[in-house]
Amino acid sequence: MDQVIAGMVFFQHTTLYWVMLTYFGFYPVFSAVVWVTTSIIYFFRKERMGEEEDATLYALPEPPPMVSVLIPAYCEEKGIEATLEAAMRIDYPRFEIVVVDDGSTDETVARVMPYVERGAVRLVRKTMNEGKAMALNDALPCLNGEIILALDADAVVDFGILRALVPHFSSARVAAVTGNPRVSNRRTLLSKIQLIEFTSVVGLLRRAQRVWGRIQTVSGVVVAFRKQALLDVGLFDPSMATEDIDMSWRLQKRFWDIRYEPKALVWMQVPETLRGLWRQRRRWAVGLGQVLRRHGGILFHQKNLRFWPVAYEAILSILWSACFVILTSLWILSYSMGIHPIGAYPIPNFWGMIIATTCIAQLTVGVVLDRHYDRSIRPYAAVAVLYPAIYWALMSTITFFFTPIGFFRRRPKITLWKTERK
Amino acid sequence: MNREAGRAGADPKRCGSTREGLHALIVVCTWVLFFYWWSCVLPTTLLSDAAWAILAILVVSVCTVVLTLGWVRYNLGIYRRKGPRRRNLDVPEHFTVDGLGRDLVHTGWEAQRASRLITVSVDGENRKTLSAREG
Repeated sequence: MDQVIAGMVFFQHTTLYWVMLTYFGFYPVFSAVVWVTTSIIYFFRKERMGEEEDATLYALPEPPPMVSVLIPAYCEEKGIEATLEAAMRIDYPRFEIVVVDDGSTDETVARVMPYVERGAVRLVRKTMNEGKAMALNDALPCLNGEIILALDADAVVDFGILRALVPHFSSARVAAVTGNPRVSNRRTLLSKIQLIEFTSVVGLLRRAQRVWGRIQTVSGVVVAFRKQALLDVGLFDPSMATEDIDMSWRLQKRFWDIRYEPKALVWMQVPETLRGLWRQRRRWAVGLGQVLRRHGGILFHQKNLRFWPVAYEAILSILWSACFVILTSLWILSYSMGIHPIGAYPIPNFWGMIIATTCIAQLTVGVVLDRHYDRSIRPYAAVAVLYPAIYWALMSTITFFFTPIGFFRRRPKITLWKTERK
Repeated sequence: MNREAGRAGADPKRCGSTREGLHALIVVCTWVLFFYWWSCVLPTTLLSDAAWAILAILVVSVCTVVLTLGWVRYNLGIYRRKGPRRRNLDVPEHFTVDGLGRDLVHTGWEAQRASRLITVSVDGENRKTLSAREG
């Protein structure tokens, strides 16, 4: 025990400790400032347009390209009908709806068949479950569209989604356009925090990354792909835990362009329990680790210079999570042994409050920028105060433990669905 | 585009009033704690420390804006010189194996694309078969 105490005290006087402490304190503030200022620049350049400019930018090409709305599904009997009903209401002249059932063991196919019988939906029915990536790949040759809108099977689209997404593909090098996912289930405090997260972290980050020129990942729940681009990079990799992050990096490594469209709205379900959220974020952390291992070489190749801000930012975030977990654990251990740790306080000090305040300010800016698209979010802005208090610890822990697993572990042959549905 | 157009899925599912009340109470208490901590911290904070913090944030903000606008201007310059990218890649659609390297067996992709119901199965010889129902 004395040795443990001595070790802790010694460590707190090392350069490494002070570097970690400084990084832990400064990174969240400065990254928040960078994201907020850059996303505001995006907002003023791209989202504050007059009606005439708006109409020009979102004019559909003639003839409008054929779009396949592709919905991979595994055991989605609860939500698939609402998804299909919304998809059928899309306002666009040429599209088809294709469900690819990945060997569901519930009534998903039975719920879809009436739509197939009346000719509203096509069904690719797989007799075996092989995961989302394989389902997408198997359906692709059967699609008629040159643009593919991939949706989650529990996502409800806004009817204007294709009119928001398709015009981007007039630019020859656009491979994908990711939409703006909104949280529809708001029953638990956890889902309300995720509502703020998707608005203020995901939304802000996408805007900022668009200005930098590369996006870390599309949202798997709503993304439109150019079919030719998917073929160019060899379709989805079934061994990756997050095929959307992997696809995003592969496309951009081949110098395809990925865009963000805040008007392309989709209402999605998020995990409402801690268990469900843990499993989802664990998969995302493992997926990011796999992607960094597979594509990490871009950090050192000058031809991928434009990718560096996004790639290095991902690594810096992971390092910050590591600092969070290591330092917090050290401090808790120190206090439990009656030792006051250096640089830490049981109640936040001035800089600790600055960190919390800039986080809340960032989340508030995200709500303000997104309020045009989702007016129902305003009452939830107050929940932002829970984000630094609760969410950071949870996400940092998951990132710290599971990203290295994705990085170092040998990839499985295929990754199967593990989504909790209620 | 009409931003005020109705939203297909804009019917967020909420919980009952008791639970909403509990959530509101938790949020309010956290805000009270937040402002209380600021009230504890501010009297003990040196003016110089606060000034340095605000200055650091302002410097980062200004630098970010300047660098970002410079970056945007640089990219717009490239666009003005070279014009929009027009080269369309024409990648042939050549599906012979699936994502796990199994041979694909089918009655022709035209038939698959015209069909409403396609069944995908794997047989014992490690081949993936796609059979289309007509219509």
